[in-house]
Amino acid sequence: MKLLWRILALFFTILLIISAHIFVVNFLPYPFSHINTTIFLLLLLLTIGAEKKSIWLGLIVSYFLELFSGIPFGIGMSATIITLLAINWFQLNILTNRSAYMMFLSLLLGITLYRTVFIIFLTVYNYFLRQQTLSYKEIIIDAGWEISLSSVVLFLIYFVGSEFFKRLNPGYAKSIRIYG
Amino acid sequence: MLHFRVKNYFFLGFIFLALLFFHYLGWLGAVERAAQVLIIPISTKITHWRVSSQDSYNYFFNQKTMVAQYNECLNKNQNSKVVDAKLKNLEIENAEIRKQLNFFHRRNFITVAADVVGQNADSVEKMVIINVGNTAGIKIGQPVIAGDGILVGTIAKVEKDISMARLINDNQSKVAATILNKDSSLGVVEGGYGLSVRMNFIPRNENIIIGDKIITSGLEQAIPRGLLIGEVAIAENEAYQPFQQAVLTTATDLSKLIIVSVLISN
Repeated sequence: MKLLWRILALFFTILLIISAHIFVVNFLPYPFSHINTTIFLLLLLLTIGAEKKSIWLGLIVSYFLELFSGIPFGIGMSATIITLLAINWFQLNILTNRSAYMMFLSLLLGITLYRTVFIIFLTVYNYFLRQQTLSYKEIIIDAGWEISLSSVVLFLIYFVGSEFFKRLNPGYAKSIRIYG
Repeated sequence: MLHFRVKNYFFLGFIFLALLFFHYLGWLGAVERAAQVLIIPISTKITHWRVSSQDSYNYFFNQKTMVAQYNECLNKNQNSKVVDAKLKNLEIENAEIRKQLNFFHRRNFITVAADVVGQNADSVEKMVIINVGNTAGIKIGQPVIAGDGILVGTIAKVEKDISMARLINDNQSKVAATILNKDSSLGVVEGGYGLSVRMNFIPRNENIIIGDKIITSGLEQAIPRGLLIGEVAIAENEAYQPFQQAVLTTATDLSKLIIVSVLISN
């Protein structure tokens, strides 16, 4: 029974992340449509949950999202996995603080890394297999919007969320009562 | 804290490679089709919401209009609104299909009609997802048409039941085109300039006038001559450039596509 609940929870988490990504890409006007909801939610889960399953979740979500992308299969998936592993290492060894500012920096680094790896793989693919070049000017502008907007939105959500949960924490409420 | 061991890295890499390998072999086709069947209705619904609400974004910036519209909405009956919306949607679809049919009858094209069910999941490329795939005869490079013979893009990726159409404003889109002026100037229509589309490689000695129509030149095998692309909005003829270029206004709004047709044969 427990396994069934776990599978259902995993299925709905995947569906929720993909739906959120599709909603943002399809519904919001430019430049808000460039918010990278998938990386944003995966990094949030990685930081809050701190479980191995966040990385496996990243693999599955990016696999299904590749089905709705015109980019050669595997580029988005490999960029997502490399990003999650790198940010996990950063959070374990360098950005060990869990303040909203560190989250902002984590996501800034995460999405920059994701987009950089993505563009490198795409350039290599286009150069060797399609004999085409990319329009880097537009890609850099789009990546700029993606990185800045996603980081700011995650910072705001994490900041408001952490303040909210901190105030609901009985230990914190008790300490205010005791120490003023 | 999440400590990944060496064996986990190997296992992750193995699963990643297995997914990639099985995808290209087509062994995961059933799983992928099931995912598409589950997600495409969600994507279609969101796309239709976007198209129907796109003109309403300015309400968020104008309080007076928003309040007026809100009051007006409250006065309308809920049921009549639903019926009205359905009727309006059908009228638009009907007009669009009639236009496309009329064009195809005149030109003897064999086409496949398709619904736009979403946009590319990645922001690097400007593509739309359409609900027809290789079972309907769709192949890479075929032109995608809207309205009365307006070229909106070409097929870039085909799967069993869905395809991705690369829009003409995408940074990798290049279409051979000709201007309907007295010189019949040839050039290449390229995307990758934000929302605008440009026509490059136009000989400098040929005259371009703002408002000149631009059509496909027919120099590409899969794209016939005569599909409307847009019209000249700005002509740029710089002394230091070997060619002149033109900024185009596309003949249709590429962000509001609902029904398109793919020319599978001409």
